[in-house]
Amino acid sequence: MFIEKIHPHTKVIFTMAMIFLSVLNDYTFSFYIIIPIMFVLHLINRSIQTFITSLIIVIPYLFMLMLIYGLLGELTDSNWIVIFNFKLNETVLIDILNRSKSVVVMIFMLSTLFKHTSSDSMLLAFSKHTSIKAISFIFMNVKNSLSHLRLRANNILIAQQTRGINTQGFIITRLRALWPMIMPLTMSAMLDSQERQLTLYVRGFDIESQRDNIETLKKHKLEVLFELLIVGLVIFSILSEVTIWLN
Amino acid sequence: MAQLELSNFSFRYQGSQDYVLKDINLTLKSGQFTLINGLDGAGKTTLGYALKGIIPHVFEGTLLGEQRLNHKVFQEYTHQELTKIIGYCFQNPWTQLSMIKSTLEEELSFSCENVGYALEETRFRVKAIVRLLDLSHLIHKNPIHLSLGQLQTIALGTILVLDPDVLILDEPTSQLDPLTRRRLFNHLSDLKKQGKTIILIEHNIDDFLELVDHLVLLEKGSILDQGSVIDVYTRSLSIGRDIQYPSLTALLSTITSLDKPILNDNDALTILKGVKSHD
Amino acid sequence: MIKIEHLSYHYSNGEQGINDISIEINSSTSLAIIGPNGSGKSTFIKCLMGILKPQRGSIILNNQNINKLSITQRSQHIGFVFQDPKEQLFKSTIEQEIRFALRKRKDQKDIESQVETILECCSLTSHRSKHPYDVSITQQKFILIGCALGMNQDIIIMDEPTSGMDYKGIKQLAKIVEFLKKEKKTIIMVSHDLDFISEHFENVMIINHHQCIYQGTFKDACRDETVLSQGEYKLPDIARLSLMAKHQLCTTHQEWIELWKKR
Repeated sequence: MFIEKIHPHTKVIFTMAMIFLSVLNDYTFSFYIIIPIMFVLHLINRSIQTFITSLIIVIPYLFMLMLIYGLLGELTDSNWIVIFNFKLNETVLIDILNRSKSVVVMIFMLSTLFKHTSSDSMLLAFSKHTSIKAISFIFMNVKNSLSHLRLRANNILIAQQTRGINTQGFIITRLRALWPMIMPLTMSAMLDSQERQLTLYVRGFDIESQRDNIETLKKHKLEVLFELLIVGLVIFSILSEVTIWLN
Repeated sequence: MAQLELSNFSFRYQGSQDYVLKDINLTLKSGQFTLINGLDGAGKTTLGYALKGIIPHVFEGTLLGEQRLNHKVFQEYTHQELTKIIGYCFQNPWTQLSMIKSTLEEELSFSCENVGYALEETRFRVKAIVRLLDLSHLIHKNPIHLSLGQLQTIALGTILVLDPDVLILDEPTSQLDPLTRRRLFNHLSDLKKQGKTIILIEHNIDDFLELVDHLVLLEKGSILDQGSVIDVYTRSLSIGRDIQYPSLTALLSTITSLDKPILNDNDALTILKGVKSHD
Repeated sequence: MIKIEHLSYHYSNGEQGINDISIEINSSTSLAIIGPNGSGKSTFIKCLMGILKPQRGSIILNNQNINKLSITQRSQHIGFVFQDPKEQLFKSTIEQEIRFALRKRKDQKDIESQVETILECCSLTSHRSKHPYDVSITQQKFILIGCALGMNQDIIIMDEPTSGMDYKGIKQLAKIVEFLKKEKKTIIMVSHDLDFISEHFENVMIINHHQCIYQGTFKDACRDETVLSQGEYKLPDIARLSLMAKHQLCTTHQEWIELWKKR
């Protein structure tokens, strides 16, 4: 269980760097390097479930892209599959991989980051800077808020049923019941977060001061080294790209 | 311990034409228990925000007049000082949870952490509040799973850990049952004995009138009247003002004209004995 | 007429919700349900609404067992006003909400006149073009009562309507409740506001410790000292004073004024 123990700074820098590098490089970096690294990481960390969850998000996304580009793609001689207008060949596949490379990396990296970082350590690590503190707070808040939101969505569904709106049955009926549910949900979520801004304010959340929490976080020498390495790698990649571009 | 003052205070939210608060003059003395009463839309919440400093810190708009704490204007205090000295409890207990802490103990510590208290200090404060509010059996529970009444007490606790000299509460009882309301009354009574300046914005006036030193009636952004409970209601009765009266007063005024408010059963019975029945 | 027989519900985590509650609620009567929070009041109401399916017991509405009916199906007969009305509102203007409630009516002229009547008696005429979220929580509750009128539901259940209302709002609610009584609706209200209940509700049901510990008229509940105190309540001022001063029980302002007119 070592991912949890790594300092949040290191994790965030690694995440950001990988996403950035996936943009810079072609699809081979994302699919042949990042995903295998994440697989090995989760294997060692005994958290293969997170990897599988990310896959579960990524695969339908890729499938959807495949459908879209398969219908729009060029008809060439070396087609693998052709069904009506849908054609899958090497060009289409590479197109999909190139277009999705960063999104896929983002999904894997961010899900790992949030699943394996406690909200406390995130807040602790970024406590000195209010704006970063706020962003990390929001992300960490999401986990708890989501379950609360789910509960509220359920309440709203029930509330709508009391108004005679049918939420069960055919898919059309269910879709029609969606708008009456989305409006109150979004409105109440917005109103709640507006009020939460105030309640956090009165609890001194935006005071920039030295936090002395119940726990403290220290950075290991290795983590510092790793961060420097990653930043170095990013700078190197940028320079190489610039050099290639200039030539 | 702490005196709050608003002098010639007016405020209009940004983008709005009308002033929500008009020329408010209010002095809330140290250790005083103030009740602010008025209809919805009278500006009670905005007044609460002004007393805390949420206006103008969070809400932008046109501000006239001054807000003072212990005779110094708010601007002369740091944000940290104002947070520690003036506490504010909102109406909805749910939004007062940070949602990022998994036990009650951590939730209570959160405010102290923000303000920069040392670890030992935080632990000490949290222990004191847990004892004061009788929350020791819930200390390891996740606040999300608790009832509304418990959440309201916890919300109060998250502010009390900072040991503010002033406590402002905006309609804390609106979602509570009589039992929990009585519990809140007891807590506020204890806090008053400790010398804290308490400001309560409420519709349920009957539950708290016993503690009130200073009553403020707000109507359409201006102070209709302010003073002791007896004085304010006496004046209102004499001119037949249409406001919310204490329950017994309202009841008795249906059968007789009153020249002063009736706040307990004994006075009520005395008045009733003197009521002449007529055909 | 609603007949509830031996209704019991316990939560999946073993927690008791309600235990063997039976009550008969006659049509066109008013019933207040009181009791400490967490004692089973909301569980009982949720079983009535169809939100929770009781493990034992039955709910019979007009000689039809409605246990198997869904919330939507029950909403044809039962209207519900949540404590947080925002969850039930979703249209862009108040008038549209009322029209939505009237959507099943066939006659267009009928709909138009109904819209006006409902807006009028719920004190919403001047707010008709406002967004439902732009008005106070008091008015949002009135919108939902208006919708219950529009859907012609015979039974209207309100969950703590007076919580958070200012005294003018309570007066307006009183007028609406009296109107509903004139329209012969069956009104069921969960509340802690004994003064309001005393004035407008004939019958009361006290739920404590997951059981119905009292059901009957509000007047009878006031006559026996132990009844209300078992639900952790004290007598409303009007009842207490009338008993202390003249040894006669008044529960409404009308009775109170009459009492003091007599010699």
